[in-house]
Amino acid sequence: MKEMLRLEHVYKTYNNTDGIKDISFIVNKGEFVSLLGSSGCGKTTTLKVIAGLEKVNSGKVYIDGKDATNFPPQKRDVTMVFQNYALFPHFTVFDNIAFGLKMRKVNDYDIVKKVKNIASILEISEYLDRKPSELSGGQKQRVALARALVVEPKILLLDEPLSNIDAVLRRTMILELKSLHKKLNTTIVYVTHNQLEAISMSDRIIIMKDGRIIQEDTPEKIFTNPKNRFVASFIGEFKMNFIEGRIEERVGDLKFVAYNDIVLNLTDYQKSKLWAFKDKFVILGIRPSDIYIKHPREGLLGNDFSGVVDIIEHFGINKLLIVKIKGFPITILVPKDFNVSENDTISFSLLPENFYFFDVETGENIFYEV
Amino acid sequence: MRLKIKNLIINFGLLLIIIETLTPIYFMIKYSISDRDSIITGGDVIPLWPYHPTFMVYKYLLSSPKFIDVFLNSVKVAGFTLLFALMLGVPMAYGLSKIKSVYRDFLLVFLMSIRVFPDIVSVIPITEFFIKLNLDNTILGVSLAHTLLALPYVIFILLADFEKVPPEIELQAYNLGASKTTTFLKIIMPMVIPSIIVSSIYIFILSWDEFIFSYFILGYGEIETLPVYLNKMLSFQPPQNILMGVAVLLSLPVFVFVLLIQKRLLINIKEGALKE
Repeated sequence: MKEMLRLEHVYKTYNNTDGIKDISFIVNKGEFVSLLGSSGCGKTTTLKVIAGLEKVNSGKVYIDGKDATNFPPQKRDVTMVFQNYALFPHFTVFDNIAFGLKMRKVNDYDIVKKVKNIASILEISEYLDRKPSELSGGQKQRVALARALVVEPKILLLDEPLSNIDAVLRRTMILELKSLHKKLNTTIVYVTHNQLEAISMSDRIIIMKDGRIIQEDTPEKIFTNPKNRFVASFIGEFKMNFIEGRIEERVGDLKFVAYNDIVLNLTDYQKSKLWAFKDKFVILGIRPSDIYIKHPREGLLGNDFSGVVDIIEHFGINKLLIVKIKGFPITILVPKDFNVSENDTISFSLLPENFYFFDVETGENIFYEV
Repeated sequence: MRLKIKNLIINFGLLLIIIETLTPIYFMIKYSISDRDSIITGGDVIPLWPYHPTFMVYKYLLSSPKFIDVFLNSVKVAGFTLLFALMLGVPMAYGLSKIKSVYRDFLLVFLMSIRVFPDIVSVIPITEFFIKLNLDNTILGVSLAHTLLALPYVIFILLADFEKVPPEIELQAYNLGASKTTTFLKIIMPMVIPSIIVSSIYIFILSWDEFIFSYFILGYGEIETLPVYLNKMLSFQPPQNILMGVAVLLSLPVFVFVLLIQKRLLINIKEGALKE
């Protein structure tokens, strides 16, 4: 695969506090890579550095094999869609889309042809004569996308393009962006704070926090093999349960013990690594969707518990139960047709193969596979 | 009931404003078209409308080469002032909108300083300076002095508008390949056109009826602008109708200018640039 973008140890700080520190990653041609992180983590700064709208303090930016660190934004052939779309208000949709082509001195005949072509792909052909003020949010967004795509950039940068549209439209746009990417095969760097968008669209996800890259992996791997507790709690639609406890030896067997009361069996593989943590505290993580609900007459599976359902939250096809085991709340995801009401007692099993273990101090995943 | 009283008060207030605005205009027009008998009545009450309205005064003024010359001087001065003030003020305001430090406020106060002192105070050093540069008694000199007066207003009006332009719009233009000049001329400037129009009206009116600076810089030379000319006429105690004729002709361009341009003010060009 051909490399399209490479960042090497890029630093860009404002007043020595915010900004990005030691950012290095590679994006291959035609790849869809997401920068994921909460607001203020440096995602947008990274995009601006790639676009040349921010000068780096140190480090290198390579675009299509060339050192573009000191290239002005006009020379980079990288287009960006801003979070607020930044349409030119006094231009019609046509002129907005044509702007980049005009700047590239494309002849009028080709401009018309290219604008019409991209407009039909994005289904905005009928709005070409309108002003941005006459468009809905979704339409503005398509115009912004069309304007960035029409110049056939080497890299397309998208800064939270779906953040301001409602959930239903967002779903459609995710599908459309994905099919658009498939059709045009543009190299895309996508910035979002929404892990769902990142997971559903990207080939790879780069998770950022406080201006640094925490983990870089495919969506599946990031889900099953989070580098640390931050990633584990950030990825996944429903937040992972975390239980702090000690690794103790009980009757010659290694167990995870929390609150002296909750004793959990471990798999052989887990035990092999956790011997080193004997009598030390660790944090156990388990996803709400990984907790197994037992039938009333089902036998013991190991790590069996029963608890009283405290609160039920409905999420369309799922519902989230908050169950107290020995006073400790734990969230469990069940299908919507699972018959339960508040204050019922339910039985469930915490299967050890679904456990994650994190270091108490560093938050690192003890079982992280590089 | 309360609403009715409120409406009544508002309407009464509006009426007062209208009377206050129209009375001088009424007197100006009435006198300018009065015949001699309607002014010098020999003890009788001066009529509310002239006995025999006549445009004699206008015919006289508009056929007087001196008046035409003075009128054209005023047009030239206002035109040059408009040109200079916009050429300097627009880029200055744009530049200031980009400065994000405390020095900006300092600069703004500094720019405003010409307006802090009464004109009669600042006119003396400025005139002296202009004489040294041989700019006294020239149209260019008066235009430059008016530019000096107009600049603070132009900058303040435009600065507020430039700051409202989202920075992303500019970054987007660079991103799509536009140079700084193109971005400024094609993207940023058109977005502040309403403010440029407001400033233009302001500059024009300021220059058109500015007296103190024009008077000092033009001194007793050959060149006169309308307000300076009017002042000189006053010392000869001319008939009221001629005086008022000059006054009407002095006010007319301002009316016309504002009428022509006011409709464009209503266009809010920035609407819908961003997602809500």
